[in-house]
Amino acid sequence: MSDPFRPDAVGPDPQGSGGDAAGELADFGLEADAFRTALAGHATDVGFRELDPSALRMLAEVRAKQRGTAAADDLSLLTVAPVSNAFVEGISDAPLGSIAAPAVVAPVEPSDVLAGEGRAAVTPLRGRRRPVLAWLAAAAAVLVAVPLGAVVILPMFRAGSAMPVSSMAAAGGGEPASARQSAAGAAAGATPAANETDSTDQNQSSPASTTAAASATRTVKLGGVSVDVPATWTTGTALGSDWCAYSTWPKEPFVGAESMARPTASVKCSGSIPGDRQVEHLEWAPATGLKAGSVTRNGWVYTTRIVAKVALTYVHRPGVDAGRILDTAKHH
Amino acid sequence: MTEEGYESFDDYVRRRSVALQRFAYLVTHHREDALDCVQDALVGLLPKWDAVVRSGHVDAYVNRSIVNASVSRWRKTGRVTPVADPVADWGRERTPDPTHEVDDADQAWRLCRDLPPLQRAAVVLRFYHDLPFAEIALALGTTEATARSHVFRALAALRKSLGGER
Repeated sequence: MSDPFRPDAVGPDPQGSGGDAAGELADFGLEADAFRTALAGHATDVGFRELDPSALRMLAEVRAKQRGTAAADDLSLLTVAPVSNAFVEGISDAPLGSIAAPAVVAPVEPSDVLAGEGRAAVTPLRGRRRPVLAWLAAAAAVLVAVPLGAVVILPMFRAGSAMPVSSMAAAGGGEPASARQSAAGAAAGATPAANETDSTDQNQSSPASTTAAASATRTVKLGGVSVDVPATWTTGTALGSDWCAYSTWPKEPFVGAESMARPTASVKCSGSIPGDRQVEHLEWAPATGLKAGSVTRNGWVYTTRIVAKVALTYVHRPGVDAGRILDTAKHH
Repeated sequence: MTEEGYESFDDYVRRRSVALQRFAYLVTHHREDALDCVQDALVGLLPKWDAVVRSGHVDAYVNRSIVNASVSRWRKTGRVTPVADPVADWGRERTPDPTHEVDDADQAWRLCRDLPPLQRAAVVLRFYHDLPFAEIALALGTTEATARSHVFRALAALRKSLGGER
């Protein structure tokens, strides 16, 4: 990386396309305005708070200890990226998979900004030398564990699902209950959006009556708001303003997996979502800028209710009592 | 007291941390990444505060730290296509009665997500901070010509994506 403070910092364009950019840039007035408008508009998307200097100092000390040198003026840092609590605060019930785990990162230090002052390389982690005896012990453990696993574990699989579902999940041997619940009819790529507790007995192996199954509900919780939805509802991703970009969409009633990030197609879709692409479902959204009420589009009613800081939108056919879903909303 | 008027590191953090997070958000398009980038940048700045102050470019240093961190994250995540912020975009496009109108600014914002991080940072520094190319180059660690090139390419890409409608 070049030193920006050297006198001849303005050099030839290594990519060979920007040398005469000054004149060319003047021709992009509309595009430049579009960028300005977009950036100014989105800069306040998120309400950031002022950081606490004392907390940063503490973090710096911790990291200094972590890298094994207490020298405060050491320019090399091996840091542990903290898990920001903002997301957890905002969506306290988000699935664990959506929260980034702490990761060891070695940030690139812009040391050349200092123009050679205190320049230092990032200290690499020292590799541990594993003694030969440790390898032998590991090999012995493998030799013992493999036959043991074949004798003990394989018969369990052959015996079928003798282990209760909840036990398997607890033992890490099966997928989470919420994943199983939603996998059946979820749209491609959809992921459960919220903590879900089924009001029916999950361990019940005897078939329940159709009536009972239809009336059973499960509680879905997101953003501190819980809602009871029919147990038969799956989890999916609702179509949005870019609906025409998708060839598949949920076909069965579902709960919107709105907490999951998803790519947004850069397309223009004319008109509202067609009625034949819509299906009964429930969506979450921040209440900011939204109002309670109902609106009908293409044969579907969008009924919105504000609960605490969350806007719940129940999409249903005309004549359906929206209260049967929305009245169950509770703020925790 | 720095040339930019900051009395101390604490004063700098108090006065600039929100603006830095906004800058980082525009560069990363992700709230959590933005917070992490700024936090890492400020923690990295602390032990070098005196040296950076002597250089007279505290903001440039921190901006470079943030850009470097975003580039680093971008590389580590396998150049994953940027996606909508799960919370910031919630109410924006998923209202019950969406207008379904995507104007040029929306197109520009979407395009920003697809730009390489250095190009994106150049666009943000140019059109959000209104920095001259010399300072953009300083913040990106490139030459001024390369900074111009980044901005030019982004503008050309936006013109192309708008389809030459005008």
